Amino acid sequence: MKKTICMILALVLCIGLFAGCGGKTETPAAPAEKEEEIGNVNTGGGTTADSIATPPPAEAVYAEDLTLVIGDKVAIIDPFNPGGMTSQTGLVYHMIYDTLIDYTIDGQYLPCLATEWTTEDYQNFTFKLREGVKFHNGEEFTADDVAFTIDQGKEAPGTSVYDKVKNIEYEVINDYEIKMSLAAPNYDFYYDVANITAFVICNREAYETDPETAGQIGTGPYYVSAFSPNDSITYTRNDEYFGAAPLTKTFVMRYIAEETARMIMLDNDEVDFCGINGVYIPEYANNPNFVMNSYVMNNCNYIAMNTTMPITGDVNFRKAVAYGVDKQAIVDIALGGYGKVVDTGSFWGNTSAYKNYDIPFIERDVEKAKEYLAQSCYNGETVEIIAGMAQTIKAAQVIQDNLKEVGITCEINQSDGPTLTSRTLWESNDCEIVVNSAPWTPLANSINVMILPGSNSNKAHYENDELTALVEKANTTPDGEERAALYNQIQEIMFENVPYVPTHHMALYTAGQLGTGGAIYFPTNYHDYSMAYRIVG
Amino acid sequence: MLRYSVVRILLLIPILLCVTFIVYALMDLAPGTVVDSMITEDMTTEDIELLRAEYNLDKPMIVRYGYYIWDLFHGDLGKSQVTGLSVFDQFFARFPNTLKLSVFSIIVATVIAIPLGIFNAKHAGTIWDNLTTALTMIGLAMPSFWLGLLLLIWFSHNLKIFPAGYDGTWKCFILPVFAGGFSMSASITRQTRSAILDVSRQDFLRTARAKGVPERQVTLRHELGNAWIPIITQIGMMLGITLSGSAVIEAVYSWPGVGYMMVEAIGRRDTNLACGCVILTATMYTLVLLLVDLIYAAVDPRIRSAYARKSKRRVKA
Repeated sequence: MKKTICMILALVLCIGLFAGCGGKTETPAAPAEKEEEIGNVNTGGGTTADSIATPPPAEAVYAEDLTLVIGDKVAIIDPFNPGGMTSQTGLVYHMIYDTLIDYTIDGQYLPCLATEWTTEDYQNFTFKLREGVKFHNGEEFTADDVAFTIDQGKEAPGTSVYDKVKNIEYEVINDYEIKMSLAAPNYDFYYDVANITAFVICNREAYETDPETAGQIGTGPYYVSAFSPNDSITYTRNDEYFGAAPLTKTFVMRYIAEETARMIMLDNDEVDFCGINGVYIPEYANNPNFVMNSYVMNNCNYIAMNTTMPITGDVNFRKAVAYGVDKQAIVDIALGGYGKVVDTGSFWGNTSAYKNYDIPFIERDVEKAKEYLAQSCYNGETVEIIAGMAQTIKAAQVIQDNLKEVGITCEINQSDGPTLTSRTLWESNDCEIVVNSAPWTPLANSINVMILPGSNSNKAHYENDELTALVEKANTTPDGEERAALYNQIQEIMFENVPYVPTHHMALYTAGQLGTGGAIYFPTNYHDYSMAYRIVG
Repeated sequence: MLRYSVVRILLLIPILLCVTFIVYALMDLAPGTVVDSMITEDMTTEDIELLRAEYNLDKPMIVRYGYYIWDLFHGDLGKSQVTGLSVFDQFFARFPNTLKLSVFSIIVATVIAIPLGIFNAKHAGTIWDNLTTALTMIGLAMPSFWLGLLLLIWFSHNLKIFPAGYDGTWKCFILPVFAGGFSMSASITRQTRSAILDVSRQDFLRTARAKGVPERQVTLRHELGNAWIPIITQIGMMLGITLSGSAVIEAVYSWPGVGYMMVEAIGRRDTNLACGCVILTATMYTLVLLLVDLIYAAVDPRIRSAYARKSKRRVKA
């Protein structure tokens, strides 16, 4: 009797456990099919829908409240606080702030808080400012606020604004005109000025009266009406906004830590927009109740090899790694097929300027990798791979497996963000191989921090005098063709020396309820939801 | 009793000092600092050094700890190194949510566990006892995030009865309270069962039954009345643990409590916030245990009379 009861209980337990693992499953599409799906597109459940840039129909009835699930916490809103910069900063700032110049998704510079701007030498710039603009606290926007933003930014190391303004001197000509001078010519200065995460204009009065909440005061299309740190931000439409008025009255950004909860909230129509990962993509892409947006990030995922370490310092070893790694397998396994393998052998942003398409893509070739390995100093030692994010850890596992076939033994060290950063600083970089993602803007100068000596983003600890000279020359060359030639040369040198092996660009997906639209998805991940809407009738 | 309470509260001081030192030292031993989570692409080594100096990270750990303790003795838990906001304010902005979750979870756990524990003890060795033992074992073994996700899928996604995340309404309490309460009820059930079984062998119960006291009264008044001490201890410990926040339940249900905030603070190496949270939760935990001690006296006449004897002796002396 007792034995029978035990058997029944064990059976019930097993059934219970397996029941938890069951449920609806989707067969993932073949990687080749997925590649066709990916792009900066907007589809309604697999059918043709409005493009992102298409304005909404005027006669429609719009929802008054929208909710977006954000993928990271926002602990504080303050451009001058080093802790305020997260992956969601761009999203938040698009709602409440403006820059002097607007940078559009198709690469144009349009007037925003500045109506005109001029320069003759790309070292001295004059901005004429828009009149009649008001901050959310009712203060009028003037050149003094631009001056305050620059001054305050210089006092805030660790912030993006500090990086952009530390070399700017200014002269306020009058309330609506300001002149800025740089230490050296910068042909990409307009991009810096238009950078939504780095050069938003703040109000002097707000910081002088209440510094704790002053970071929430901008001139943007929405103002912050409620903020619960790390949980949610509620925005209310700024009816005095100088630009196009948003169609939504209240917009909420909520942080939901658990992915299953996010998906359930989307299914239950508790939220209007939500980022979608891996296994969930087919379910929403084929569902007519949702509008799917996908875009390929400009960031380039890479394998950095520390050129100062004995093994990874050997160029033959680095080439062995470059030929030994299957980039498609990384995309298939680490990203479930939803990503784009690099299209050249160049370590460059997906759509960044001056990309050298003549540099050949390195296909996996185990025999060639073994040849290079034989010529290297490698002698069976265990090489450390360090990775910090879930996807890079999975990528590291694929790399470890690939390199095992070549004859390289690797050990993966999983770390969190602060650990990875502290171990890969220029002064103390002791990692052999780092699997990570490099942020790329549309500009070619994003490469600077990855290859210049002294830079903490130079995870390969790469130092090459010829390359440094070329980079500095490219930064100060106004002529487009000459710049292109210099950047081509830079990419060729990097291809030869292989400090980095570029692997892929991530593709990200966002699902919205049917009838949603108006969001602008930037490949830099700084999306603009200020004109997002949902048609309800 | 009063003297005992005062002594217990005073003992908090060395306990908290040890706790702060351990947390501070562990945060320092962990690789990376709060500055490492702030480094941007364009920052130079000089910029980083400047930032490190701003956060006193250029000074030895013991000096930083000294500053921290000095502020603490002045009643200042400091400011979060990431947000610059007061640790005290941040903690107490979230603590009411954690308190509600803990108290309701404990109520659910107790309501399930005590009758079940009594039932088990009364039917010890029978098939019912084995079945409920198996159930409680499953409850003990089941990870709370798994149960939390299953409840989310069943009740929020399939049946659409409850919301998937925190929305401030009473409905959003049900799933996290049950998920938290269920796993706690398993251990309280086990404790109740064994406490009742221990008491059930006592002579006074045989006497009560021989005198013709109804079985219901024997169970509730004599058996349970004498078995309360270990049960209350277990409930108190559970309450103390949940008051420090259940990071897993909070993460699954997007619950704005202190547990997840503490985990995040550690992840970003926000030493002030992590230490502050630990100090406040350790204080809560100690106070709950003190409350448990006081409840012992309230429910058990033997302990009450022991306290009374001690005070009489002191008066005579």
